[in-house]
Amino acid sequence: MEHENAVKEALNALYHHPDDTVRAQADRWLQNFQGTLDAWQASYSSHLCLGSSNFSVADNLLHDSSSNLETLIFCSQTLRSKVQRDFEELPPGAFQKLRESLTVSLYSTCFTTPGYSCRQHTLLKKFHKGPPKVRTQISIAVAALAVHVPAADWGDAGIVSWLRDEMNMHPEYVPGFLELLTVLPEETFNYKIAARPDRRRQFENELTSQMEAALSILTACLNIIELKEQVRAYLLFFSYRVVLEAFASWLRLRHGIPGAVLACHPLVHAALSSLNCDPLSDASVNVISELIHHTASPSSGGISAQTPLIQVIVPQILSLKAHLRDSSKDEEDVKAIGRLFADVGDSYVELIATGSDESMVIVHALLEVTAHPEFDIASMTFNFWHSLQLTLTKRDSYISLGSEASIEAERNRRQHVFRPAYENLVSLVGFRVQYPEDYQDLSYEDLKEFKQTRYAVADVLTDAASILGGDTTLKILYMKLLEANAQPGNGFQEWRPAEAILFCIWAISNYVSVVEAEVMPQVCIMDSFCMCIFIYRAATISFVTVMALLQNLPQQAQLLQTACLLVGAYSKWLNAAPASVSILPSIIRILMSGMGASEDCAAAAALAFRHICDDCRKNLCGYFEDLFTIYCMAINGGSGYKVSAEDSLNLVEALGMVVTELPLDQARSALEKLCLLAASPLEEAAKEDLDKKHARELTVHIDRFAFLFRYVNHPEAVAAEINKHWAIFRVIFDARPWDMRTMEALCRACKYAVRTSGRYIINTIGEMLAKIQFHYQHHHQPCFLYLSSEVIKIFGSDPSCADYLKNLIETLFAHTTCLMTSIKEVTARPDIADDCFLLASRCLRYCPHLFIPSPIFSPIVDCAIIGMTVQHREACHSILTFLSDIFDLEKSVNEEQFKRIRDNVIIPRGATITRILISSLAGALPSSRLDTVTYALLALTRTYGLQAVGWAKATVSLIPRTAVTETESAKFLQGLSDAAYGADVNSLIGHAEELSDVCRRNRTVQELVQAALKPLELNLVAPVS
Amino acid sequence: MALPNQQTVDYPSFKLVIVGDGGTGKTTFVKRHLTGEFEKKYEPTIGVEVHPLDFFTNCGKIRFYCWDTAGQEKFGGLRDGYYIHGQCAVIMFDVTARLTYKNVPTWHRDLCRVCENIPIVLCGNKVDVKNRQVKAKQVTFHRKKNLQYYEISAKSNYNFEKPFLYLARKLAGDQNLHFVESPALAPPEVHIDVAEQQRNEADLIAAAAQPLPDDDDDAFE
Repeated sequence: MEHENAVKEALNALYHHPDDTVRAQADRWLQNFQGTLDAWQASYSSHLCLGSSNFSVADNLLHDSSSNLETLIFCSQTLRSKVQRDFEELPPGAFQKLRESLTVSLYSTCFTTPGYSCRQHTLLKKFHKGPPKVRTQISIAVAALAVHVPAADWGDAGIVSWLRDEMNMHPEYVPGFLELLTVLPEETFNYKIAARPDRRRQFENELTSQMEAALSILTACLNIIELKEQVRAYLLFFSYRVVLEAFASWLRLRHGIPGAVLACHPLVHAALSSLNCDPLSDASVNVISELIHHTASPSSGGISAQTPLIQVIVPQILSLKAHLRDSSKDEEDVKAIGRLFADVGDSYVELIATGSDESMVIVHALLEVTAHPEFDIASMTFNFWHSLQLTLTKRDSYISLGSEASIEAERNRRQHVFRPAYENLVSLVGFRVQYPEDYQDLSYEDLKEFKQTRYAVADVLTDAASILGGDTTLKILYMKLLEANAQPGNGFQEWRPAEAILFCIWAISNYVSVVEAEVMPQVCIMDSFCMCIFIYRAATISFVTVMALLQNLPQQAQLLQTACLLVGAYSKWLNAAPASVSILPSIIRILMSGMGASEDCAAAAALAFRHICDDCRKNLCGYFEDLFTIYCMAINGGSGYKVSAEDSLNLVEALGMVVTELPLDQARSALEKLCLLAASPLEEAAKEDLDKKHARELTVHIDRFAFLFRYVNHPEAVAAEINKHWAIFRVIFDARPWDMRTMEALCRACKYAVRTSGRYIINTIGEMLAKIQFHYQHHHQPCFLYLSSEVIKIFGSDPSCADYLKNLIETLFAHTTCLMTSIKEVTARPDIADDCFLLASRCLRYCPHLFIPSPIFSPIVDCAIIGMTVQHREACHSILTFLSDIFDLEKSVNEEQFKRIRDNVIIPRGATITRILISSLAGALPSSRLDTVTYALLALTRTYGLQAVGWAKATVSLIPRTAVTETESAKFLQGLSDAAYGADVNSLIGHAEELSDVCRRNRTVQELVQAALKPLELNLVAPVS
Repeated sequence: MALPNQQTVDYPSFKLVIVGDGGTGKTTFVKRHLTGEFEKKYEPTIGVEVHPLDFFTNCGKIRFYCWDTAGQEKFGGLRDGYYIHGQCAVIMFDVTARLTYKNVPTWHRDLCRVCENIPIVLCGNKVDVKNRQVKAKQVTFHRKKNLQYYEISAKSNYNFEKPFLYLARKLAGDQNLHFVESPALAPPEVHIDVAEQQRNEADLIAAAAQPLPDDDDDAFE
């Protein structure tokens, strides 16, 4: 009993002890307990007395009446894991005893009539009510057993018929059997069960061939329940639920059951009638949801094959419509109903898109869900409206019709059918974007959520605009605006409906045609109210009405903010409008008032400036001075402007685009003024102790440089400016090389300068590179690497830069290889690893003639080999990509001498690289990296052919046969061999996945394989310099 | 039924289990709450790490004991042994890695086999990253009972408190519960602008239609 107590104590400590160290200790102890469960013993009695093995400890605890719930659950999990993982250690044929003992344990967790005693041994009264969680775990253990043992060996034609026989003999254990039936299909794809790929496939086939038998068992259970009417109501309900859950589980296998069969199946009928229960049966909802997905699944033959079933379930679901608005219903029930409607919409969208009468019934039902006051319910339908829009608009949907004419005709017909629905939709969602009355009292988080809601609605509006056309949608919204403002009364509350509609108009900006068609967009600016609105020169709307309308709108921060956003979004129209030149000044005045209203408003205004300067840049050329003045006020906080430093960058971008349009000499002086504005604060700061400044004080200004260099597309002018201001950049580099943020900002600015100036910057480049390679050696900032990468890209092939570029990359790589000498170092610096190997890949591509012959080439390859198994996703990806690029060198480089050098480096390391790649597949890297690793292996094999296959063979031969069989190895090697001769990467990925599954099937095997392959033992040819 | 957790504090505490694939950001999310730091390195959690997180609500203080479990199979430790006594949960996936969303149903199932009917928040993490693979619209798993979905970014503190707020409301049975004091945070690493995000998405769609440019153009954006 000693061991048993130790387990209980450890569990108590793990779950309840306040001290972290004690808890961690208990955790380790328990892991050890689970991990060292002794091997199965040959003599296996039904009493499971296996001496003091941990297996028996766990089993004893399961039957100990004093065990609390956590002990029971934990021990059942332990047994389950043992069966899942270590089955292959069990002597052949011994599984029957194991099955027997598990079944007994399962019985003991079942509800039974009081007084019954198990025909085997200890059945404890405690289990009469049956802790369901323990029952579940034991069922999973039995299911795992079934996965391991072929049906022929299981006997009884497989587990399902075995189960049926057991149930016939012991109907009182129905709960246990139902639980087992439920988990069986789920466990088919459970990779924690250490089954090999072939056996797993076999099990799937065995199971699906027993589907009919399983469903007839479940149906029989319904009848049993129906017979036992004397059983108390809750038991009836309970069992019904389990039957339905089991049914859902089998449906999820997606093995095509004919729709006609299901349409009249008693189980389906049971689920459908349960829909009318109150509270709503969760199990029945799950079943219906699975039925819907089943009908839409390709393996079921498609929707046409499933029509009989669809015709049964859809009307039943639609009949629940009334419950959506029933305020007495539980919120989870309403959600469940909404879910079913959404599932119907999502799954049958192609059917619905045909626009038949039946479809429209569904569409109207979905509109009701969309109209639900609860946003969480309504938003479940948003995906449907989006999918429907896609299906209606994309050409692929109609391709089978053949001729262009018929495609066009059908598309128009269908879209026409759905116009009313989408028009309706616009109204239904529009109200949700309206600010609530108490918005000022909303918490920060709730306000953020409200804004998210607005964006979600904006998406729906764009879907509507795709169907209705932007202009029509605009008209609808405009009419609503008129309505909203026709309301009598005054007061501050008035702005909310108007703002909501303006937001909607903003949302569809991309869909409103720029080119004037039947209606001509015109902009009308109301100076006194800082509002802008679009009106149509259509007969129905008169200018006078609009003017009158706008008189009543109040000044208000949110309203102004949305107006600014809207102005920005319609910048293309402003540019296209004939009266553009005369309108722009008024627009700018609106934005200026926005900048002073609030920080949010200023942000919107700055963004709008960006759009307007982008799209109307030619028209704004003459306004540079005015824009410059505005910009100065914004960055100095003059005139009460509330533009944040971040948002001011939008203004820089805006100005940059206008300056781009200026002729060179004007552009030069404009840029000069702008750069001076950024430089002066930096120079002032340099007079004091730069070292002590907060990074933001500097980066605010450096970022402005970056944006200027980026957006002023005058290479010469930009080159001149960076040359001029290099001095202050240099000072900052030298003062704060330790500060990542400032260095990043500087590198960003330099990057853009290089990108824009190209050739013209050649004089400054040398100094720039000398600076970063100097500082990299002491402060190894990743941004130095990426700036170098940018320079390499542009100047890599320029002979006049060869010397200092060579110097640069040799210094950077030399230092990096000294830094990252082990996997531990790479793990600690994933940013550097990532950027280093991105740079290395670029060097291969843009300056192979500098990189490959360099003495730094083989050390950096060694460094990559060291880092191959780093867990960090991006770093790992960059390293493997670099190696793949080397293997794939032929694709980009033709020079024989480079290929020779490459071969001289790779071939001696080939065996090691292959070994590490294969051990990565087998577990050294997470299985999510499989694709990247496989590609590297493929690239290596394509280049080195049989030699690489030989390396792989040598690696695989290190793996013990208990872990991977001869057949399994051969299969993998054959796959690799095929790849060497041109098979594509997907087939190799399939083989890699199988090898991965086999090697990771349980911890013992995984550890065995890794111990054999030793991915961290590198046997590098030359010492890392 | 009395809460099985040891009350080592005199205000309500709940066991919160955090599960999800390796590398999705579970540990980073918890650490962000704990210390305000954003951890760039990736060191797979081994077994479990337990951290208490306190929140201040209009109904008083509450504590979540966060059981941050290993996502990687080989470091799993006791795996679902850690779920026992869980009263609420977070399932994390990475919106930039579709496979992590595909595995959500498995995590959910394993969790529900041990913890019945507990409130669960599904979190789509790393929404600050440009190249999303799983769009918000495509997430439908949370339609199930007792599940809520939030987009989060540990890097930018986006929707930082939402998961805890939802769970607190469910556990307290009070929809009007709200947090009254935000813990001080280190400034976000990046600034999320949803409109910008939408523009990025639109750009991505447009770009997909273009012929491939130099593939490492924006590597260092």
